[in-house]
Amino acid sequence: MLFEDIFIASVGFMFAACLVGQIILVIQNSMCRDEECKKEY
Amino acid sequence: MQTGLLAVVLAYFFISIIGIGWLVSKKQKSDDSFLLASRSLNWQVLSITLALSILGTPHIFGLFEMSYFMGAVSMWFSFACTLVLIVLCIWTGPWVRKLNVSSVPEMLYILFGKKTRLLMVCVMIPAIWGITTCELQGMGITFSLLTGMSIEHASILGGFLGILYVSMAGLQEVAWLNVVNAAVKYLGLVVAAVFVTMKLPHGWAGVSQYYIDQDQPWMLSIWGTPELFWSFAMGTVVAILIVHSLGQQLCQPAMGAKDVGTLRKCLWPAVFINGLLAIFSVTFGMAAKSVPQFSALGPKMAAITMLLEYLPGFAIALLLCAIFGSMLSSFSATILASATLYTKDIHSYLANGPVSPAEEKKVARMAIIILVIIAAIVATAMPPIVLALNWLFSWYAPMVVMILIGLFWKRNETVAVITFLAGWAVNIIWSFTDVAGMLGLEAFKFSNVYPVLLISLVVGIVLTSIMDGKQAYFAKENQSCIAKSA
Repeated sequence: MLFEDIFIASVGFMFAACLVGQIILVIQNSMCRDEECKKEY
Repeated sequence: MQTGLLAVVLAYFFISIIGIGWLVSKKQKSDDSFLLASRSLNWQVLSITLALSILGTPHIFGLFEMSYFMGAVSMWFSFACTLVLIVLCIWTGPWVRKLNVSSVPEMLYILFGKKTRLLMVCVMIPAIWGITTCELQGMGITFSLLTGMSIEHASILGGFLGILYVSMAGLQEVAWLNVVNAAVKYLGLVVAAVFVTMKLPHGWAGVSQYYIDQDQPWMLSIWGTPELFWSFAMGTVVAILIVHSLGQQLCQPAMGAKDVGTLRKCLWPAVFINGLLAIFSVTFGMAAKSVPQFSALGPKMAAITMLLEYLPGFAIALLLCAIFGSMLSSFSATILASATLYTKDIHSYLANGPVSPAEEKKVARMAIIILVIIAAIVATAMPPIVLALNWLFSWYAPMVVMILIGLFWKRNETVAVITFLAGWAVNIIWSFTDVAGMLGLEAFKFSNVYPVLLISLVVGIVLTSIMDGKQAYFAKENQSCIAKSA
């Protein structure tokens, strides 16, 4: 049904996008060489 | 009955706005906290403020209208906001916070120089103010429906509430009001969804069936038709990424963050608080179109009339508080952004001597009042919300291109100025001539962002590559983690 379909598509999109964002943050964190930088994540 | 409802809604806002404004202003220790909340926002408050700063009339009345014409593909307006919040929390927010600037044009000044700052602020203020007029239009329509007063008077009433929302204690007041409104908003929408589900003549299945019977099954898909997907959906994604990732409206709360780490913690909550609302707006818009009595009222009125008809009194009051809360939150973000730009980048920057925080606060308040009054007058002309926004958003494209070039490649102020002027000229030509038709691109007539971005990229990249310039801003800071995080 319409409401469920749009709900699932929307939440799925947001979850996938946030997951990609989180992975980028983890990669950025792993590239830090000092403590000050790590604190930002 | 409608007057009684309006009284409840107004009472909620006057009590919450004046109460929170008074509490926050009492706690403010200095005048410089008005525009940037003393750069003290924690992640909980900041997440909600970021989410609600770009969640207003376009998300409610804009999506009612869009879903009426385009169906589920209009969800891409919301998906675009999801993407921009992610970009802000990971990249652009930390950049502006790290640079410790008070406005985006100030960032341009650091990167390129005085001319770019003044040029950009002269475009940004009217562009953001244009968004304010759309916000006021939404408030005007709702007040008008409720009370029967003219949209002109209703817009003025909305503007008055907007001034109160922001002018008592600035960004900190807006942030705390957003926390209250976020809770009311989702409660109101969930209650509304329950009643709409119960009252729809054939339920949600009947809504789907209506579009199938009309031979419009694409209305039920978030992918729409190929033409809609590439012109509307992708055009909106690009436009919103451009205007908000480095726009004052969303960057201002980021500038008020406690630190860079705080911004990164906002990633998940800000996205979900912002993104869930569109589900309700789009489905309500599509449901209203499937019922002949509401469909006949047209895209601007169908959904809101359906809600007023289907919901009981207490749910209407709750929903109206939710709708006004959303509209006021983004309205306040736009008006605070315009006032900040005027105060910081025109008044204080061009003053002969140093300007005290107390004077800045006074100027910002005056700017808020004047900008809202003019916006209320323009809002009564009722321009189409989404088309107006797409046009306004395109003005930012040259700025985003040059900021990225300046941060990571090379900095030349002449190149920046030429790129700005070239991009803006294309935006005007695309809007006011039939150049799109002459090129066989009628489908992209209202997607100004594509040609503006293309020309900005070509001019910016070509000129930067052939002209000398200063080293990229982040290249200077190899020892710091800015370069790594970028």
